[in-house]
Amino acid sequence: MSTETTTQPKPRLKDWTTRDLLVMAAISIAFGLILAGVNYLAGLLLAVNPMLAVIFSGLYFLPGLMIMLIVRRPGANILTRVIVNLAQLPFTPFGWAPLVMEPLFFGGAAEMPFLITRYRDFRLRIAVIGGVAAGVVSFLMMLAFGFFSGFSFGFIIATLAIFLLSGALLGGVLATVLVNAIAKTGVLNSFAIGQEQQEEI
Amino acid sequence: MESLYYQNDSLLHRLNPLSKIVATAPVILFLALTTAPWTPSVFILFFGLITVIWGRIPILRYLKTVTPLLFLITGFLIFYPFAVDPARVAGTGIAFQIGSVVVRWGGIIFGVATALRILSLIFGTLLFVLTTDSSDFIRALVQQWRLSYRIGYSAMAAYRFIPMLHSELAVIRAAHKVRGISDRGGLRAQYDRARRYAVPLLATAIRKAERTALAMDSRAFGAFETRSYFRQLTFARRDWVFIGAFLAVSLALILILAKAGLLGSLVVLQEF
Repeated sequence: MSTETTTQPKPRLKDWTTRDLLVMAAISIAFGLILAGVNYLAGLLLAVNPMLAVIFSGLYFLPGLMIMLIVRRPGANILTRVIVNLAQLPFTPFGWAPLVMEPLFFGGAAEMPFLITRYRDFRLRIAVIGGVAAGVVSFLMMLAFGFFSGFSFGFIIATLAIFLLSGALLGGVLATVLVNAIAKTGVLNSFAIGQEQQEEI
Repeated sequence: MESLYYQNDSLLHRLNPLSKIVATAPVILFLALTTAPWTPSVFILFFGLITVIWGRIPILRYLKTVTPLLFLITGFLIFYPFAVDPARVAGTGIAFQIGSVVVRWGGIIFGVATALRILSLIFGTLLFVLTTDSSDFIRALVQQWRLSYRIGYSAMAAYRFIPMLHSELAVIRAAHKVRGISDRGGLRAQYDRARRYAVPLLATAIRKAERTALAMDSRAFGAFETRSYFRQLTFARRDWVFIGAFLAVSLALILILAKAGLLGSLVVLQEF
């Protein structure tokens, strides 16, 4: 953040440079295409067993967490979800439907730990908590829409466990690993994350 | 990956993209909460007919889009009768029995209802997806619903990155091959390849994105609150007529179903 203030940083679009937005767009379309494929796979698994469909849930939180770790701006998770959903619009039969709820619920949940630490802590643990939080919220949404109606309690708890694990590993851990690997290539040198990764010669 | 959008000039194509959402969203939300098999079936037919007739989508093209989805939902029919909580369907008759596993009619109806419910939601969104150019949708979001044009144009730039990602992937693949890394193999090799491709692909994408951002900045992108548009979308009278007619017919269908006693209970009322 450019100015150091004591107040809570607000998610203001003005703070986002064109570079931030376009880097977000590029990562969003890459994962948007992957997720459009994962959608079909998850749909198939949902039909076989809802528990299995949830395995990939963390991948849905991955691009948002990556952008948060790269640009380090308030609202990164939510905005990235918006762009991912807009970007994959022509490639998924679900169309605009995810656009209504996903950014607010998934993005908002993943945003929480960063908000609580006032966007100053971008270590692995915060990203993992973000992925886990998004997993919890997705689980609650599936519950609310009756995906588990008719299933036993043990089954529902096991599904929640997979949600949490996937959110932590495919969401938080993978985001951190990928961003660090990309930063090592040097393309993120103009971002804070790239500056940290640079080695003194 | 191929776009689902079918380019044409039909009634549905000419509508403002937002009016298609305003019309279908309440119906789709309602369908998401239904539990009986009849309501989704009626609306699957309703959505399908409107899309094919008013969207002038060739029937073969529509079937081509829908077939993989039909394949997806057969799983519900096969698996759900076994997975359903026995206490829930205890009262219903036994359909068949494999060893100690009893499948009751209640379970089969539950599977059918879930499959139809999900299919009806997808048919509802397909009405939009097949007949709407995504760039037009973003333009409408920016022009009518006051989405920040900086976000809108970022999403549109994302579409332009798709061919770049394809060609970059080909370059990376060739580069790995020329260095003697095998391009074949099973699941394990697939995973290894995804790992090898991910970082260089994302790194080039970021580099390209930065250059695009520079080009846009140098043309004063985002310098002003408002901007002018090459394609101006409007919310015309036909959009209101479409929304009104669509919702009226949907409501009539729901009322007829309710009158006939085929509506069933809604999921929210059941859970809590």
